Amino acid sequence: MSRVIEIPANNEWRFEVHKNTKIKLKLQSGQAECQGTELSSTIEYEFKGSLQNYLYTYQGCKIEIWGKEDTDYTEYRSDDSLVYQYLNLAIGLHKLSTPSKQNDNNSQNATDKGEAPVVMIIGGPNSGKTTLAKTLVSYLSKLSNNAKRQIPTLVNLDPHSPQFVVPGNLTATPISSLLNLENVNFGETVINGVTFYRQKQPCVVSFGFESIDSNLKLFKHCVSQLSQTLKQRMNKDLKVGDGVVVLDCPSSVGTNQELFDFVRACFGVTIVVVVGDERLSVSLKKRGLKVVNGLENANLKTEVKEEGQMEGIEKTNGSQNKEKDLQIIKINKSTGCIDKSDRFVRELQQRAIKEYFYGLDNVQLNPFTISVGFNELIILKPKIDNVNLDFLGGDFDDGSITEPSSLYTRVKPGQENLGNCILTIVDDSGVDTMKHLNDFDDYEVNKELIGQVAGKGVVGSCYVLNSDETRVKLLVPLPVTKLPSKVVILTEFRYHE
Amino acid sequence: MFTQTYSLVDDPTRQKLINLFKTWKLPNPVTGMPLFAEDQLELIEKFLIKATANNRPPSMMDRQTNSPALSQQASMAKGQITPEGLIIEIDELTNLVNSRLLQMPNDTRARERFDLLQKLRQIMSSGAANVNEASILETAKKQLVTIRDDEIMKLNAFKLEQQQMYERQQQQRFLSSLTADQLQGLLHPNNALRPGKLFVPQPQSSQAHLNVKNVQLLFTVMNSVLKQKEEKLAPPPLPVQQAPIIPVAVAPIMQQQQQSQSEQKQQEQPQHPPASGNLLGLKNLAFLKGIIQKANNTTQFDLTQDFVTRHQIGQEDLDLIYPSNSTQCSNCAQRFFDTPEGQLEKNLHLDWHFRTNKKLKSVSKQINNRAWFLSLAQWVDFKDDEIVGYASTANEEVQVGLSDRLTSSTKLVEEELNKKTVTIPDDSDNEVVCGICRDKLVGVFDDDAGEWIWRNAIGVKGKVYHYSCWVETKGKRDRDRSPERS
Repeated sequence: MSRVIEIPANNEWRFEVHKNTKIKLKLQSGQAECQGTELSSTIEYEFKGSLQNYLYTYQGCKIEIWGKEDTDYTEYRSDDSLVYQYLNLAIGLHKLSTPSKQNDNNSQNATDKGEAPVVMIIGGPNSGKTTLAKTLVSYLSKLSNNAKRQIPTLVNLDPHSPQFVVPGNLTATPISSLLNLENVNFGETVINGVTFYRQKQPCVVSFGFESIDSNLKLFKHCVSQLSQTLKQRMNKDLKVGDGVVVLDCPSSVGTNQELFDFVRACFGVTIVVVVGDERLSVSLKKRGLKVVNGLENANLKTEVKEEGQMEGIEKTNGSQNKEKDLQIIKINKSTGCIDKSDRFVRELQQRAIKEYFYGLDNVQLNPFTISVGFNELIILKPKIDNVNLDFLGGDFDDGSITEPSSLYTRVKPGQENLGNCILTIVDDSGVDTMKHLNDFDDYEVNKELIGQVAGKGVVGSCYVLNSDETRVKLLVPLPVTKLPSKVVILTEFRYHE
Repeated sequence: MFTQTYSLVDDPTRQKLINLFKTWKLPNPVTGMPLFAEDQLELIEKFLIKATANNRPPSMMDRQTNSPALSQQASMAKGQITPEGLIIEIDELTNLVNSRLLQMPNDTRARERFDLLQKLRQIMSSGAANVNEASILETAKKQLVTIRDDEIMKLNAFKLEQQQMYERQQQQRFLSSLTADQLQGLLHPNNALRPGKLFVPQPQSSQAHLNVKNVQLLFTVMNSVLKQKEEKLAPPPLPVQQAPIIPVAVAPIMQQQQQSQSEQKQQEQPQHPPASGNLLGLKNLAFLKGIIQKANNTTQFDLTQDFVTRHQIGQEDLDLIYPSNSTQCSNCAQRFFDTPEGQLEKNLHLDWHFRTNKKLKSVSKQINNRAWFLSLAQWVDFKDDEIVGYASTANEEVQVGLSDRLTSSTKLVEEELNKKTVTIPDDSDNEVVCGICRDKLVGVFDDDAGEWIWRNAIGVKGKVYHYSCWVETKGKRDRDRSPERS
């Protein structure tokens, strides 16, 4: 059953594991890495289908593989690899992020986060953006693996492809240790048990749709929330603050100039990496862009501002008024990129959801079912707002403060078929939920509620097993008698066990 | 200009300015002429005498006997180390090296050192991020002092030789003026290297005055030095001989006119400067290269497209992500740097593996749940060290995991546990099973109370638990009940 494959130095070994099959790999000799994460020679790695992945080796290696070729997996070697460019980029970014590390004893400079680069990865669909992002944070995590650790942060702005969480969410995750390379969903987030790999603690904001174009205003609101939270974290946690931030963006961020400018202003992007799109990189260079930090500097207004939200931006602004050129770096599309079929994406999403509730093979989780009455639940549904308003003229420009009510609608009990829906539980601290519980139609009250809840952190997800007129039966990830929050967001995603 | 500067700067810098002035007063050892017009120097000296009535610099004559390097070192040590001060120091040294370079244009070490000093000066004056770091300044200062000592030693030795060999000067008169011109042309490129900064004295102005005589003198000196060395020196101490760098213009003429001597010269050049100086020089140079490398890494690095697409991955790049094999974790392939910090980190990492592996073995029996994600405000305050286990304060918290951390578990000391006792009821057995961990609680007789008790126990609602078990779980009482039980 097993055979040994030799991979020459600087080669990629690309493999595809078919649906419902699995293969095992073990490093026999040499060194190999999977998207920036090194393989250990003591572990048998198991890859479960469907997935497409690759191993890369700088020095050559031998891999033992268990599984039936063709029925379980297909594979080929390629010397046409771009991994060395990824490493160059990572080394470059690391070098750029070191000065602020050396100034730690200088309190004035220590708070200056201008040095650590914020990298935004854009490019067409299936061009390898996520692979690049994953590889970069893995390398960066290794490069700063010394006494003064800098922790890189991986930000996923693509609700369509989940990272660490169920799809439909935007996340920012400091990568302080190895990623789980066997897991398509990057690895475990915090559970109460132990895991072989260190658990990651993401910051999660719910978007709810698969495509960001379904409601760009909501997307922007979520992005601005996420970026402000990350900035506050970076101000408090110097290790994260000194680390590189890598933004994995959905492909439409690259094509929508206004959205692109919004995202880079939110995060204070200093370097844009364009993957496999020469035309896009040239047109970006032509614009001669400067680094913008903070939305107010970009002359774009945030939607639904709340007290205290701008705190993070204000703190960092003082030291960052110097204008720097926005750097544009292009990376070619790897020849190993495969156009993901919708079905494949769907499978990955379902796997992510399943893993959220039931865990991985080696650490199984036990979800619980609880029953919650509609009278103690506020269900919000994100509004679909994908009408192109450009042709209507300037009145509908995104600069105007968006009505909170254009982000979500209240869902009345029985109004929607909630069966098999994924609900995200939103942190409702500071919200007077009792006041809102039974006011379904009061426009003003709902507006206030949505304003308070929109873009708040996600506490977790639950899955609707079934619902009737008065109650809903939910699958929740941990044993509770009631939900930690009364506010849930009805996402576009469904899950079938 | 000098006086203006002097009145502007602080005391340590003044001291250095005085030192600098001393070097100006030092006549060019080759030409015997002062670097600057004498009337100007006199003016400055008068000013200095006025300004530092008590602190007059030691006179020129003291220099050779009185170890000026020591006094300077002392003043350096006393004075606060500032980049500016170091720049001045570097300038001074640059002058010293440069003047030596003038005397010995064939001394590759001196040239290299000159270039490095120039670079160091650029780094210092560019205000690079790392130059303010005290430790670097400290090392730089030390190194500069060593270089200074070395230079002064060489200079003094050189002067002595110069005096001894003065008589022989006459013999060398036959050197043609052509040679002098060529040599001067050769020396002139040095001018290009000089930064035209405020503090920099201009010894090159004397170069302009170099006449044929001077150059002849220079050759005399060189030759005499070489002869002396031939007598003194053992075979080359360095196994790898450096290719002798003979000024192209000079060499042929030398060969024509002083064939025997030029042969000597070619043989001797690799040994030049003396072995001790060479070693010292190497050490210093290595240090300076380190600084320059560091500076390049931090301040001058610019991420370019070219770097990303064309940079060839070398071993030094791979070493960054694949540091030595010996530091790799045998469990998960994580690598650590081969430094004391890396070792410490690895030890913590291995401890962590040990703990988790132990728990993982029993994991199948346990019921695992996912924790809720943190709210945005909690996440802002979260530190990844709490998962990773590097924070020393969070060590015990790491062991009990994150969910317990949130319930603010306290460290349980055995003594305290034993203070928590439950008196065994009359109708109970001596042994009872803890309601949480299902382990036995065995009763002991407490002499103080004169009763049978369970240690480390607590009675809650008629049930008895280990106190430690109860504390660990009390934070999540409400969620401990699974739906089946509720």
